[in-house]
Amino acid sequence: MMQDANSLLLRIRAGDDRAIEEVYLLCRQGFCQNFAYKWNLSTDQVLELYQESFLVLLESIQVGKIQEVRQGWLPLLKGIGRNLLLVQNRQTKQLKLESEELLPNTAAENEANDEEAFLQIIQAELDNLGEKCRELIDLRVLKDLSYKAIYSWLNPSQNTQDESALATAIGGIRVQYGRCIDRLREKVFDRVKNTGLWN
Amino acid sequence: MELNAKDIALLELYWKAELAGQERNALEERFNTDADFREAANELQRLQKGLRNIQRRQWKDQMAQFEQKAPALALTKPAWWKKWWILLVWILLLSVLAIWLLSKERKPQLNENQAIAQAAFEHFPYYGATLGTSPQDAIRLYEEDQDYVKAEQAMQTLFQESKDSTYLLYAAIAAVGSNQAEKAIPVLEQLAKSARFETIREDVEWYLALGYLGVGEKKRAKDILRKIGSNSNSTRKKEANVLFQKIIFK
Repeated sequence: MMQDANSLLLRIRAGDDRAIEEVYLLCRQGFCQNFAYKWNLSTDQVLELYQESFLVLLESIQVGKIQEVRQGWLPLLKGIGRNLLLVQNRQTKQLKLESEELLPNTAAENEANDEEAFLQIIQAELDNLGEKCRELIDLRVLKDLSYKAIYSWLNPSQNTQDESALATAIGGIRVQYGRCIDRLREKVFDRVKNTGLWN
Repeated sequence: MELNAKDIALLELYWKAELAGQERNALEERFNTDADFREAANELQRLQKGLRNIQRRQWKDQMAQFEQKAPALALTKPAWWKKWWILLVWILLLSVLAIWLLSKERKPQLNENQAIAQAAFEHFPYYGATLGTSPQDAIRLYEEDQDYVKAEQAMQTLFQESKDSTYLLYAAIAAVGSNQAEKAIPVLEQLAKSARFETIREDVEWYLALGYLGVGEKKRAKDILRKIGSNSNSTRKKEANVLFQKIIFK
């Protein structure tokens, strides 16, 4: 059973959407049943908590924080869910204490709208980048891989023994990624400045 | 301002708090002195956060699609007995165990007369013509184990089968020894009159006295003990007098 879980883990790390769906549906009922009554949450609340927990799980898998699934997916998700609820409760208490300092609703809405527009700009400029650049950014920013790991990922069959050749190749990856991300930054923030976001 | 690959690598290490002291100080110095660099660095940090948020949004959209396929959530409240079933099973098991132990260990409480009778009771050795032919189980229960409850039953069974009153005598003595005097009294009263037990009449009467004492008929017990105690030839004279004194001065 743990073998299945670990093979799913590898598939999720490789970006397999079916594996993500399998784990999502596998744990959904058990997680929601558990939290709905232990924490007295409504169906909407518990589903939201499940999705937030699942996002944390995916992020942790992607950046390599989770290397192995020892006790199954559900205990893992329950642990994340409990932590999220505890953090949320702490924040709620803090917000109550500092209620005078809260942003007015309209300001918060504007902030959210600007953030959404910003994400749309990033997405559009990302789509305009070449495929190679998109892959490098994905591996470095989202998967949090080192330059050496990116080199191995992109060249799985090559087993370079020569240290200096390997260093050169890794340096090349670093330069390529630097150019890609900086080009994206310039394009995105040119548009941000032109559209007057966050002004 | 353009950021080169080295700047980007340094900034990423700095944000992860993985930059060594000297390089960190140099970078922070540059933040303070180079406004363009600071702005470009902030933009890069914001861009990377935005990229991660896009990824999150994609996953959220994906989960929304999963939800369309997923069955409706059935959030039934667990029955209390399901929730606590382990505890209940344990309580039940412990209760059964406690009841069993209590019923096993609990010995009937003797009243004062019964206690005196039981203290005075001594084993009456098996003897007589039937000794050699008696079934071994009954002898073992009476002689070796001195388990008078079982011996009384075994002797009664033998009497039913053989109609030999010797077995009845030992059944009655075993009944006195196991505080079942009410069973022993009618038998011993009969046997005390029987010519067959002439030679051990005094012994039969002694156990009858203990039987009377056991059921609280002290007057009858005292009469028998007085009779035995006043017989100068009696082998039980001394113990009969001691028991008589005990009954009177208790």
